[in-house]
Amino acid sequence: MNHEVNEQIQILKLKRIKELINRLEESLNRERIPASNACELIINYVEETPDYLIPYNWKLPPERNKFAQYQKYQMMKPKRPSGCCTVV
Amino acid sequence: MDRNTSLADQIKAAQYQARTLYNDILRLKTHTQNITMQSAARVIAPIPRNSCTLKLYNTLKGHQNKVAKLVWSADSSKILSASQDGYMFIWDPITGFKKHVIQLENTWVLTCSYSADEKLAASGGLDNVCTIYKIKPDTITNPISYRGGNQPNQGIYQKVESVFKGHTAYISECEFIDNSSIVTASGDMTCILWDVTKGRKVRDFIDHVSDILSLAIFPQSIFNANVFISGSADGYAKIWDLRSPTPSQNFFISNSDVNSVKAFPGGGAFITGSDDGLVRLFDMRSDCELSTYNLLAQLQTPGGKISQTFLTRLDDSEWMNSNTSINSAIENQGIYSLDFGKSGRFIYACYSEQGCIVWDTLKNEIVDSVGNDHNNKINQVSVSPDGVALATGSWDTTIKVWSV
Repeated sequence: MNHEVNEQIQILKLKRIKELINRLEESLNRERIPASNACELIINYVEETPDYLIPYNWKLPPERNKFAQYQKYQMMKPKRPSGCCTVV
Repeated sequence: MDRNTSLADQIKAAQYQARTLYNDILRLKTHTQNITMQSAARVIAPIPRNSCTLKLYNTLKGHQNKVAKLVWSADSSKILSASQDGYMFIWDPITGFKKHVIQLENTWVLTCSYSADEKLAASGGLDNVCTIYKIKPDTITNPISYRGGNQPNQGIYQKVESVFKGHTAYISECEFIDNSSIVTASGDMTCILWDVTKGRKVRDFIDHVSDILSLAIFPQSIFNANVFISGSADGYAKIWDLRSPTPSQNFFISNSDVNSVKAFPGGGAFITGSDDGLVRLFDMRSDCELSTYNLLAQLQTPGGKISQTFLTRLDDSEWMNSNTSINSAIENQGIYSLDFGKSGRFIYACYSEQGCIVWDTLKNEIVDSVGNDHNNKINQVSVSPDGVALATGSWDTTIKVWSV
């Protein structure tokens, strides 16, 4: 009985290692580009994509800034007289 | 007995073969990893420190507990946030009004997601299920009136569309792929793809050997359709194809929890944030690490002067002063949340003790920090899809909206 169980475990172990080998082979055969090329691809994307949270490089036209527009609109609105509230 | 010895021999041979292959891969990897991002970007003009300070436009108040998660709608016009006070809110970030309240089936929420057509919101948490809520469109246009504290009784309309049961531990992350499918990540070491229309599980993604803590979907493009990343407490980040149950790539990150992952907006690369306090940039095409962003090393640069001013600035925030000196704080510096700006030039990283730091992805320099106005730790950061605003969520229960 023990012997059989042991053999089953061994077979399972062998199976696992073979699976690992398959994955390692897959990984080894994967096409890889040098890191320098990858960096270049990333730099190109960064350089050509407008990013308005970096005002140093990209200026957001004021009319496109919804937040500033709304704030301006709020300031322009006539202010309600700031009276005191009465507790009844 | 003979059979046993032959089995043992086979195992030994297979182990040897695996080891040889492993070493071959290592050799190949050192060959491809010929440069770091910082040296590749030497010719790029630096961005001066504090030249990109953002302006606070709105403070979204309403949650009664820490903000667990916040996400932008696809058109950047709304923010969905979840908190363990038992509610999800949909906000208008421009006016600061709440547009919608979703009362959660289960209070213990950890994450939420918002479908691109804004008809569905999802939540997941300690109840091990992912709940999909249908948002009734006609309440979206009418801001609701709700004052915190009491049970809100007006302006709530929600319907539970689906409850996805299948995970055997907490849901750490969920994210809509499109309007009818969602991926969940769980403490049961698996990710699952669900079909919302059919209301059932489509596929398990099994390979991690510990809790999955983070999930990120790649922006849809011809190169990155159907791809997502998971980060786990086993120290690995794995790249998955939605059509395959096994990962297509594995990246060893560190011997600590990988708390946060984010895809590079241009695709092909991603960043990770882990409990060792480091942010790392990996590229999938070259299968290696391109950069490590080390806060501690930056603050200790012999250049001294700038880092000193930076430290003072950090020290100014009230909650930093409370009980820890800056030095002891630095020892424990896990990362809560990460995001890229629109172009990927900046990384916004929320550290457990140092607030939200802005990194220059290319030059590997600290550019700024955001959100020092929060009264407690910042645990969420998210840039709007149109790239013109940024939201920070905090333990102080508020969300702050920033822009230029």
